[in-house]
Amino acid sequence: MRDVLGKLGAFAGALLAVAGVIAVASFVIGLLSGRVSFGGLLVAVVGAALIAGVARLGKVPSLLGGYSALVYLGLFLPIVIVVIYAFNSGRYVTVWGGFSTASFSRALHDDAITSSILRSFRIGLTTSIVSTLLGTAAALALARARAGVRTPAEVVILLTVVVPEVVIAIATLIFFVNVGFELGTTTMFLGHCVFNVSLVTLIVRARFLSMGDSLEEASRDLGAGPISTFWQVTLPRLAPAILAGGLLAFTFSFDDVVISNFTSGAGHETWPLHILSALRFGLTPTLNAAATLMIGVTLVGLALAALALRIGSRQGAADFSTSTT
Amino acid sequence: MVGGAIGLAGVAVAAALYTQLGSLVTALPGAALLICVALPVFVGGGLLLQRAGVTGRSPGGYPLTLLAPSLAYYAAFFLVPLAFLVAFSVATPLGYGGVSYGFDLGNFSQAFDPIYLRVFTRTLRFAAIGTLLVILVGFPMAYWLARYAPAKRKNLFLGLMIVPFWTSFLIRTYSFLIVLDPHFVLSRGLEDVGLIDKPLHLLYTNTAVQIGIVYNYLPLFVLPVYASLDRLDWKLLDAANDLGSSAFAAMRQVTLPLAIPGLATGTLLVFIPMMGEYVIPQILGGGRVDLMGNIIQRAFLEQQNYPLGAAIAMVLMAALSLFLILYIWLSTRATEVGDA
Repeated sequence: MRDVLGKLGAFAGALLAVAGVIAVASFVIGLLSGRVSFGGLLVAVVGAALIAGVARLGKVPSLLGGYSALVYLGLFLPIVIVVIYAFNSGRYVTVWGGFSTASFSRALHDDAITSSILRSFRIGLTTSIVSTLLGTAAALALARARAGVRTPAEVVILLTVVVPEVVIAIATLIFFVNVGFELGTTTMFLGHCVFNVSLVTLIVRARFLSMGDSLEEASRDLGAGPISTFWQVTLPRLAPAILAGGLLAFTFSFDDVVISNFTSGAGHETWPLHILSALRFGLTPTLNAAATLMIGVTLVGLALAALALRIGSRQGAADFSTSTT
Repeated sequence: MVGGAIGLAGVAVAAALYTQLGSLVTALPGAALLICVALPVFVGGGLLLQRAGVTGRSPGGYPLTLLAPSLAYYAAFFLVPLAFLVAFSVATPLGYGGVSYGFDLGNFSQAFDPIYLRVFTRTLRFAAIGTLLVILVGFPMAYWLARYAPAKRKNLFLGLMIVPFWTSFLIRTYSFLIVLDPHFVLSRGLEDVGLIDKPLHLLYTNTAVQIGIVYNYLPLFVLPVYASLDRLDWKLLDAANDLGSSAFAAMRQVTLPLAIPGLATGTLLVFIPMMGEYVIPQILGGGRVDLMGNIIQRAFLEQQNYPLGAAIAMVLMAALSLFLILYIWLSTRATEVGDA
């Protein structure tokens, strides 16, 4: 009970301190831009008093904890609001008018929504498979290659990560248009893979490097070729990283706006592109409902993936302990 | 060769997936052809390197040819497009996406037009303020995660930081269309309490865009900073305390120098995408707040003036590479200081 009270106190203290900082900061900004008022000064004084009071009463660790809780709240509240307002039956999207699930059935019967989600799913899956294959292969070769090969490859990989997405997107668009590709699902998939191959390479390589290569060496010394070494030694140990890379590649492709926006051509809307074009005509409860469904599906998928990983690692640990005893 | 086979198998799998799902597109054979053409270039290059004695089999045991497919992919769909971009930025526009190739600096003089320069400085201001705010909000959070978060639940807290990432970026952005709406509970509540005297007027303003940017990029900053703080030995701080330094001095002299690499990475990770951002201003700015990305997007998708868009993009890249050089210089200096 005291624990809970302490946490609440820390949260309130952090809230007051943040309010104080905002008050003082807004006064200083006003001062710098030449707008000073008596009310502003009063607010700033109150804010400074709040900061001083909180700093005197609270301890740093618990205050930081309260502050972090505040940030988490800020991170999740907007998403929660989207979910709640998907159940809004009111005439205006932003004014609560009662509970209803009508928007959900409208969303499920909207062809534009379902077909765009399916298209995103298809592109995401393909991107994920191709990026995982190319990225894993590259990571294996790169991990312990000499600087002469490694450096140019690393520069290219770094470039794909550092160049702003919008620049990559327009470069790919110019390229596709001039080489004679027909814009559509394929061009989007080809565009998505550039970043995601790098992503998988970086993730898998980090894992491969941290594993050490003594088992690979042992396998080679015992006469196994690269292919059987890969299947029997490297792949099982790399599996979590490859899985994580593939999953991330899927998400990034599924969620991609920028490259899709440029390389989709007409009539090939992905789910993010559908949201983007629907927002042009204003927010609708149907869009909220579809978004909520997608959030739900993602969370369930994530939970399943986490569960599978946990069972997998337990299995791995069990195998390991039985094989060593 | 194994690598080449794996790469082609990847493309084949992709093709199979498409046919199975009922959409084989005409462009796919072209793509495969392109990769096949790009592949020998890299294999040949690799062989030349090998002949020169630079490389061989990598000591890890996996042949270097495994690198070939992804390098071929980068060549076909990243490096060649970038070359097209450069060529287009100095080409003469003929309208509707058509160009005549040549060396025409007219696009660049157009890109330095005062209108675009204003957009450029605005973008720089948005990215700078956004990065500053992300640091102010995110650093204490990363510090708490690394130092004070309960060890048992640390993974949970880290996971919570990532979960918003898994809900669509657009959903996260447009949620502020509800939150900041003058008819929403927030505006009404603030009015009732008396903090504001007229409904919130934030939607489609600079402030809304800035809020959206900070909100979306925060986790991207917190995670790398957490990673660098997590490796920090907190006993150093205890030592500083025991030796009589104040909490502030310990922070400045011990924590910050050790955290600088992570801070620099995090800053770069949010600053660069912020400079190219166009979706958040499009949604939360309602077309009234234009950043560089919006200008580029419009040049391409609305005016079809590819060369102008390409030139603006080149200007953006040039500015960013300046920051990148600054970052590399700072981080090498930081490691030197750390070593000294």
